[in-house]
Amino acid sequence: MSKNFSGILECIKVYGPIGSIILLLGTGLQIIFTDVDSKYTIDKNIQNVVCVRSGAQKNTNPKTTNFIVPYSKKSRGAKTNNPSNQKNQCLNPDKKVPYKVDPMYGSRNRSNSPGGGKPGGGPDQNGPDINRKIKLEKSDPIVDADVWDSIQRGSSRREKKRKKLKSLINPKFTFDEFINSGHKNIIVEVDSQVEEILRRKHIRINDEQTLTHLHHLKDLNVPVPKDFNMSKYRKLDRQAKIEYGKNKLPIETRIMFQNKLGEAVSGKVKAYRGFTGIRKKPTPIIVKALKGGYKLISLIGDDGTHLTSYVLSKERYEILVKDNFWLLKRQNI
Amino acid sequence: MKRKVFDIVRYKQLLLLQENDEISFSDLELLSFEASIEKQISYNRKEIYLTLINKYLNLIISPYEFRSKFLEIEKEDCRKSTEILQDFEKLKVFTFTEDLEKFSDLINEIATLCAEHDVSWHKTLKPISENKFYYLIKKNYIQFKNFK
Repeated sequence: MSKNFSGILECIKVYGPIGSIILLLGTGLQIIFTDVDSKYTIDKNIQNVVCVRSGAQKNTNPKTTNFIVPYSKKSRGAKTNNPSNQKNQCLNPDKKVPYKVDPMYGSRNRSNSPGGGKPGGGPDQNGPDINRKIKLEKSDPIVDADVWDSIQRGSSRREKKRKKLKSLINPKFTFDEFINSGHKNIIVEVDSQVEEILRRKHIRINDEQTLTHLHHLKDLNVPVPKDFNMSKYRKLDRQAKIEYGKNKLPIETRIMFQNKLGEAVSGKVKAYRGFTGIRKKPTPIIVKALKGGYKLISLIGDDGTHLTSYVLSKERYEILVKDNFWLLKRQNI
Repeated sequence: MKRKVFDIVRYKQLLLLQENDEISFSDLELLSFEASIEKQISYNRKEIYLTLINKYLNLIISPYEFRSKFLEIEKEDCRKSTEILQDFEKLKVFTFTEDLEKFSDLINEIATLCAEHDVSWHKTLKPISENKFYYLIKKNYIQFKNFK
């Protein structure tokens, strides 16, 4: 207050009393019009859209104070100057009015509309769509020669890596890499007896799935690295096991494990209609006889994904046959 | 105590049938012949199993150590039985104790618990808790002691 008062006194000194009144009035009007123009501003620090009602400079009335609308991916499209949409955009936190999102949001074909198909108009409509994939061509005027070369180098590196991975895989199997997800699968073709039980021609050995069953590495004679802590690994949850396996196991060992699992479901094997879990879920089981009377059991999922393989002694295999191949009786599958 | 003798003649017949692909390796009769040897070897080594379970129940060894050692002993039994199954001279004189089936069921129960403890191929699938595992082993141990 004292600062404002001293400012007015200084103004009167410089411009005189009448000049000061005119100046103050002019400044006041300018503030009002500036606020009217900047109805909607984005507070970048708090990531919220701050909606200021026109003409309200400092209002104590809760009905007309500043409202904050959550700024999320869904609400981005609703940030608009269209007055008809203002009721939905400006929420009074005291009233707890549910925030409504245009049901058409995201449902249109984005590639056909210039603004990425977002309804409601406004600045977002003409903005870039981050989800749209851009395919660069060398002839494209925006492509710099150096950038183009680095892209080409990157793709050739990927191709070399892929070739190296392919060379590690048992030639009996097919290598299949999903570029987007990064999953490296080994596809195993099964014989007619197994096909009859599985009702599919191929079994997919997924790299992430195998990473969750590394405690069977020894069962399949795959060397375990010295720094691989098995007791620590066993305590981890599924996602953590995948991460730990990716960090600790070299790609060669991972592929070797996948190869061994592929061998476990191919060659001289026999498939049975088995069951898993307390609800006796039908699950195909593939058995391979190993040297020394051991049996290698492999469970296959509904989608043809290899789930797990482990070794059973003669005694436990006998029990399994007596139980009509019912495994994991206690598990809630 | 009455002791049963291994029927070597029938076992040889079954091996011949398997060689000619007339029966598979999952033939129950052949399997029971093979498994019976392993069961008897486990029975003969019951003290080792009992000591290991005792150590686990008294918290001398960790659950992980218990599970891996138990399965290791079971594998050793399987290796020994394979050796005997290839030696027909030994098989001729091989005999079985009477309460072998009951003992074998207990060993299998514990071995299955140990082997299936870490199975989790789905996000929703969680292994049984350590407390439950401990309780189940203890339950089997009480019956196990009767074979002493």
